Amino acid sequence: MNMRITFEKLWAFFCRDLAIARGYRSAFILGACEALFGVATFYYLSRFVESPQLSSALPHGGSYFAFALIGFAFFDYLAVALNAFDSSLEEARQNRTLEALLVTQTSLPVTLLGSVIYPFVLTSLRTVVYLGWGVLLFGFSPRSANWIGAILILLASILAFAGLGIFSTSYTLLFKRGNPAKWILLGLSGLLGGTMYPVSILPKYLQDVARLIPITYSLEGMRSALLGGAPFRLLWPSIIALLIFAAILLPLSFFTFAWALRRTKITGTLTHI
Amino acid sequence: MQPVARLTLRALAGVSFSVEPGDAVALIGENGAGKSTLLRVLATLILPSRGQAEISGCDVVSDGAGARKQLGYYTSGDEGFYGRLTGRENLRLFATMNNLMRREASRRIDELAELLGMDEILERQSRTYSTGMLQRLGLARSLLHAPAVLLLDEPTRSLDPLAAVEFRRFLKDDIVGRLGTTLLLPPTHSAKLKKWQVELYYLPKDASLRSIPRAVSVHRQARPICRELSNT
Repeated sequence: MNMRITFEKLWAFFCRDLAIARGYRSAFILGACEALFGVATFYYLSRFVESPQLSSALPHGGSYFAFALIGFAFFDYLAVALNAFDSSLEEARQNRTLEALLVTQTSLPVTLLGSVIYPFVLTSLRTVVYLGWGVLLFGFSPRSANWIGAILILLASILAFAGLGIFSTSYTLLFKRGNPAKWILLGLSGLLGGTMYPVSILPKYLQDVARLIPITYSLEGMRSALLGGAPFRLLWPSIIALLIFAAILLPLSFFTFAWALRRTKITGTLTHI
Repeated sequence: MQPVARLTLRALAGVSFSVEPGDAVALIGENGAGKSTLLRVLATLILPSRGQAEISGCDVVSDGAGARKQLGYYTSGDEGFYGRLTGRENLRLFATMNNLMRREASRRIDELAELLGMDEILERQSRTYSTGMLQRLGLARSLLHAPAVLLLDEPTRSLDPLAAVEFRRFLKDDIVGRLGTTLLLPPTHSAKLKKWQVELYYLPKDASLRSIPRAVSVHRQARPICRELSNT
């Protein structure tokens, strides 16, 4: 019964966000156009820099375009994980729905979780659009891809990223604005995670640091699955690494969040903007 | 560094009172006495660092979920709704958050729409509502799960005089009279107290305060039951 009610609540949040988004239909069309421009930019950039040496330096060979497209598209998941929890909290504070939600029989963690489902679904759609433009117009070919492997990598990544997102939201809960945790995590992940270039070109000590960041495993696994068509035995190390991150980050972030929530309730600043 | 700084402001020190089921009680006191804070403590939005507060036997700290099941919290004004959703969609969302399953939620929304005279506006986006309509929508939301206790914070603040009179009558006759809901509210102006016809509790700003201000004593004559929340 409790599980059923929780799922009903999560579904209700998704329906709420979908109903609100339906009121801004042009945003969907503009989003698809924006994705086209993004993909086209990477395509022409990759044509400019493409060389046999560059191809041989890429983990799965092939074109730099395919490498960068996957990095670009899947980095979005990390950005959404770090932004969506924060934004849902801020938005609820701004439109005063936070107080109304908090006096219901739904806990704040469920409320936050429910509020990020739609952004993650939207990001998945956006990723499909990115890859779709790549396939349709720019010769991106994931024919030999291990799609099930890619989905497993994605799910494990979302769990690990959600841990980071909840952790970072604890800061917003306490201090309201200017979340440095978010910028540090996004900055480090962008720099070291292998989004636009392989991690192997970094100095050794930075490669070691990159091993401590979930997106490194996420992008490695995703490229292996989509570009290399890697079998599961080659994907497991990435999936297990991501699940270990999730196993550490999720309880830690829930603990931090619970502490922050309690603290703001004591100081009476929970709904302050 | 407010969230991690030491707590320095004492609020509600020495306040102690209880309200019987089905009673309607108005909290009165000076600005800053803590009327809204008290309601927010009872609504589990603020955790008291000391002391104890219960709603229908559920401690607001150790059993916050149980307390929330028993209470409806209503703040005045037009805030706290999703403007792009219809009134019904808003209410359905909050009903789900209060553990009402779909069919039960629909039944309850229809009941409340009839009770509050909202049938005709429920299918409109709430951003098109007037202040009075939003007041009713807010009240419907706080009553969705048929709470035993209704906490009202400045319920008639943005209503015109006629609507305010009607709203008070509705609360008194239908919510307290018919549904037997316990009502706890802090009126903003003492001049409005006569109109509420409820039991008055005086909340002192300073725990050592004993005298009852004139504004209250006037109403004390008008309404025989006026208690100071005492240090017990």
